[in-house]
Amino acid sequence: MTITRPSGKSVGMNASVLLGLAVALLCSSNALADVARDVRDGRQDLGTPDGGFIEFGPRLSYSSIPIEGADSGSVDFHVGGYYRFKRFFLDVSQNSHNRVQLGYNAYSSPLWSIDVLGASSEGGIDNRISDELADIDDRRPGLIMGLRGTIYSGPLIAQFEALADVEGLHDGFMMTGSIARNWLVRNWNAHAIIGARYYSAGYTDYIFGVDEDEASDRFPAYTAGASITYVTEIGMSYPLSEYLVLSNTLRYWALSDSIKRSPLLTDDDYTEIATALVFVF
Amino acid sequence: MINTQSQPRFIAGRWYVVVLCFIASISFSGAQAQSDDEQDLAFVVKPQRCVTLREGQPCYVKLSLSWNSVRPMSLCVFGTGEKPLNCWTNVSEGEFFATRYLVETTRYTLKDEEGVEWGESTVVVAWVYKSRRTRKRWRLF
Repeated sequence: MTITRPSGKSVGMNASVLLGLAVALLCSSNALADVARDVRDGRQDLGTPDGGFIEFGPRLSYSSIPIEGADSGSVDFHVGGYYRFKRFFLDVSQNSHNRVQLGYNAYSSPLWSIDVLGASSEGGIDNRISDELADIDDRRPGLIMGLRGTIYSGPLIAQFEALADVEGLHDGFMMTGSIARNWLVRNWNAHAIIGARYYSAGYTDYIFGVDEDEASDRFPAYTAGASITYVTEIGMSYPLSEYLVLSNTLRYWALSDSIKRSPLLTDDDYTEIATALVFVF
Repeated sequence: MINTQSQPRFIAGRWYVVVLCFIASISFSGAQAQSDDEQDLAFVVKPQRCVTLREGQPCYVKLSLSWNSVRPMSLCVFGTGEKPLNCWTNVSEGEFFATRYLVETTRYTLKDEEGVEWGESTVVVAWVYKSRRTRKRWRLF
């Protein structure tokens, strides 16, 4: 079998991957990566030689963000990648629900794996999304840590996470459960993900609540309770060459009542459709 | 005075060289003829590369194998198996189309009835993301 990339990466190549991932970290507005990477690109755990890859390229998306004044269509530049050293890994993926993730693969077998994760939590609401939120305090991304377990069974992947705020930003925690499947249709790779994301009351209130000191007639004070958001995603990727992938995704999030009642939001759900050309090195 | 005893050895040596040259010229012309035959046959396989998203995935490819020669020939095209994919009898050109899922780089050869190889071409299977080999290992710091 022809090897298109050497099994042992040069020091120069590893340094390039690390630098690229550092740039991706700075460019990402959110931080943390999940089952979307595994179901699309394959398992990223023990057995992987040290090294990784960088991904970048243009991304065109259209989304219905349930916030008044939020942009619906956008063209941006995606930067991401994956780097592994021994059992430590750094994963940046704009296609994942979680964007950037620093972790340690504690256990790995053909059937399941366990990772210890640390990442920057989702900031959620801030005035970069819409000028309407100019008087609302930005929700700062905080550091969350926890465990992730993944089960592999043929084309099926099940993943569970439990992560808690360790920075003291909101003292909340989150748990997620997802099931994903991959299909190969000629050289098209299709995938589907369904899942649920639970956020504790403190976590949900930090993102979607409105404190008394930031309340206004437009955005009255609101205290959010715990929430469960249901997420679905379908996607198709096609390798145009060894270094170029065409990637398409459609996401739909059904928001929980606790989130829908937030005065910051104007709708019950979130939808995004996106297409990207991804260069992989 | 001419040494008449050396003349027969000299003449025998000269004839020896002539015979050697004659044998060499026959061998060279034979090899040249075979080389000319090989140059008179063109074997093309398309595409020459197939890319999957992940290492280890079978690569779907629409194969086109074609050949032509200056003289009629009876040839068969072979892939990975012992059975030929297709054969042609006493023709000077041939085409074969097929769809395949290739699991690895595959060599295609054109052979005659004696098994002599008249052409070969390779379809390289490549990928974007390397696959991971997993081993059971538990370790926490």
